[in-house]
Amino acid sequence: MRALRRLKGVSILVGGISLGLVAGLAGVGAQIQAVGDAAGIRGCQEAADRASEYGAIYGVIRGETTTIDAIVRWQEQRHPISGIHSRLRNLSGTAAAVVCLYSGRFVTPVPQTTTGDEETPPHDVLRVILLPDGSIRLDSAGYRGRMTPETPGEMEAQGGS
Amino acid sequence: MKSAVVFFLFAALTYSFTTPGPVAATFIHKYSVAYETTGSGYTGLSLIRTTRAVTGQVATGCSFPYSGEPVYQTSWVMLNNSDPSWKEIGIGHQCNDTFRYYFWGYGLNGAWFPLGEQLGITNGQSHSFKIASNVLGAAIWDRWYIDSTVKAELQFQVVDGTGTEVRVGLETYAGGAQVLPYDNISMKYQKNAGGFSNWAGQDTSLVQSPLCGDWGGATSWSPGQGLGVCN
Repeated sequence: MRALRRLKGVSILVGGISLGLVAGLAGVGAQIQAVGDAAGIRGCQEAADRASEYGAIYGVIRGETTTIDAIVRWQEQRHPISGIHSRLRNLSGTAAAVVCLYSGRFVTPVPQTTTGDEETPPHDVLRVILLPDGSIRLDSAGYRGRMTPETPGEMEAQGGS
Repeated sequence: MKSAVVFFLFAALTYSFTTPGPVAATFIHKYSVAYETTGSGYTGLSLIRTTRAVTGQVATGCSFPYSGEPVYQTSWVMLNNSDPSWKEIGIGHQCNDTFRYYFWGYGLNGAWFPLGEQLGITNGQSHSFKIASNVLGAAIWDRWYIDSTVKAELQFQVVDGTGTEVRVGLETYAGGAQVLPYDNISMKYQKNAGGFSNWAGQDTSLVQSPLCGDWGGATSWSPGQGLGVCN
């Protein structure tokens, strides 16, 4: 009977620790509310493992299903810069692809912005293109809220071509 | 007996959540940078840089540029410092230095937009790296060069002519890596799409531990990592 009580106590302890960990992890996930279309978000979630080559991924911010043509237009016209040639131009324009934005901590190049020994914040948003063959292609990396227009759809909504 | 079981469980859990795996390394993001900052209107830079071997780097990031725990031997034309916009050309090392590449691109509002990469480069070689603005008719074209080859060209329509400074140095995400000091020599800057001039005055530098850096003169900067001092 005493042994049973001991076992019960240990079970409660382990259960408590496990619940705490699950709740903690769920809390981290709950801070990220992905936007976009369901298929796009699902595609980005499934590609997260491959995208984690670029750093630590915390979650999907946005997933938008679109076409290669729309992505090429967006990549070439989203900035006040002329002469950009999208690297996706050689793909079939009508094929479907997904623009994925992940939150996390990434290792892309960025100039130092701090003084002394203070660490320059690494990029916290990764944007990749999920191609028709299932591979991913890096588009860019930056900081949350400072990468507009985030997707081809957002550029169109803002009145871009 | 009960306290012994509790102690064992806590010890096991603590160990499992704090002990790194075999390839884990400490995440860092540090720089060794020299600056040319006199006046404004910077549009370009040029230098000769040796591709330096990296040792002690973890074997991650073996498939794509800008992944794993990279070390970048690089250079920047800063167009805006506070919400940084820039043009960049450099060398990336990943995967215990078995995955190496030249890269070039630009930044807007702090975000990095790669324009291209050249894979399969060799350590120990020196090449010239240049970013230049050229006036062609009514337009100003920005070009990225390695040796005499144009790697990319485009037109910044808004920010040209506002460059705040040029920088040369080492950026690392590889906590355990070592990089012997290497040469960036013949460092020049370009202003307002004009001719190139030598860096002058050793304006300023920033070296963050565990990196090092040393001026070899006004037109030469030697950065390294994990060695204490670079001179």
